[in-house]
Amino acid sequence: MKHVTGTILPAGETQVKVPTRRSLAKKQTRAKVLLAARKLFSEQGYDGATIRDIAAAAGMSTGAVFANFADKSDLFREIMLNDISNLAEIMGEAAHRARTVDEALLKIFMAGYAFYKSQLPLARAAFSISWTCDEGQILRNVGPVQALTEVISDQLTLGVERGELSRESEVKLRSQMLFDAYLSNYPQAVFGGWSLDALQARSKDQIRVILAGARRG
Amino acid sequence: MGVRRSQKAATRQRVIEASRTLFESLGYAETTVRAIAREAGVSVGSVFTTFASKSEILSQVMVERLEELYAELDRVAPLLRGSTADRLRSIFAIHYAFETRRTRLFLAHIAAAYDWTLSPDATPFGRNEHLKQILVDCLTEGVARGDVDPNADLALIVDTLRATYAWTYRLAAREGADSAALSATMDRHIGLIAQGFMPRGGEPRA
Repeated sequence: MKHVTGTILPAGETQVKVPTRRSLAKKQTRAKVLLAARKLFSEQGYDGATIRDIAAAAGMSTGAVFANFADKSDLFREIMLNDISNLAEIMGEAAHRARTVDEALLKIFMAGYAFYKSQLPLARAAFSISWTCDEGQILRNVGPVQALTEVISDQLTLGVERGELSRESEVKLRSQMLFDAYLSNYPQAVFGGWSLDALQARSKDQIRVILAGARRG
Repeated sequence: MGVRRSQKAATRQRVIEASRTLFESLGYAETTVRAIAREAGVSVGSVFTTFASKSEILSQVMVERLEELYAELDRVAPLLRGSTADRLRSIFAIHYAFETRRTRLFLAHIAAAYDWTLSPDATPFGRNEHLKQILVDCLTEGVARGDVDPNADLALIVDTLRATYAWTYRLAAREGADSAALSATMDRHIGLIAQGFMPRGGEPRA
């Protein structure tokens, strides 16, 4: 079957890493709930999508949803973290084919924008949630989120090893700054409707400014 | 001003003050318009004749807060001394010191920039032109003083600084970082950016 819109990407949820003690049936139920939830979060936003609607869309009772997920934020977090860990892998692969630090970083940024371009409403909901105190604390130091900054710091480390960047490049701090720059372009993408080309031009400039100091020995 | 208009202005001010208190103590999402009306001592109906939505109230609360902040910055900016990097550090330290007086309110303001149902009247975080201008001025003066490379792309540096400033604030959401911790992180980031915009060769003049 061909999807009419490109807004739903179910691939991540079908590969959820579930502990082996869970039965196959339970796995399928979870996958169904996640798929329905992703669609509703994309269409209605986080606040607009209720557990009741999600259950109805998945063709099950709210009780069955709650048997699998503690609450709505639990459900949303799982979708988000699945996406992030898939994205970290995609970014890592994209960078692998680059020859310079600048090129690698640009490929990392663009892999991210391309990934979320088709599902901006979901990205917007994720940003909004991540700024609230409670969720923010839960998300702190979550493995997949750290994996994203590590993809960037790996490339800086390589750049230092290859002699493109100075030994005193403060890789960790600079990676954080690059990640900040990467994230800061999402509002333009969400509200400004920027194209991937526009995002690429902007990212290229940002990367240049942030790396400028590290090129001077 | 007619009685009707002055009454409306008074209601508006009471709603803004009540909301500022509740957004900070209860959190934005948890605060209902009903609770705002009760705290302000007005009816729910009159809240809605003054504001279209809760997000518009938040936006207005922040407009007032930011007016205070920028009045403070306009006063302080001419007194700043030292290198351009140090001046930038002071500007952001003032921001963090001001914002962490009401951390939850400010986090709600940032979160609202991504709000699904944002009203068109709201001014979300990050679209503030005043900060942009202050930073452009600071860097332009740096070029004149000689510690900013005249060939540096100032607009781009300003954008990068603003991105870092905003996202550094997530330490307040995630770790409960205070103003000093936020400023310390930002100071180091500014150091990295400054490495890139200082003129080649020669020590920066203070």
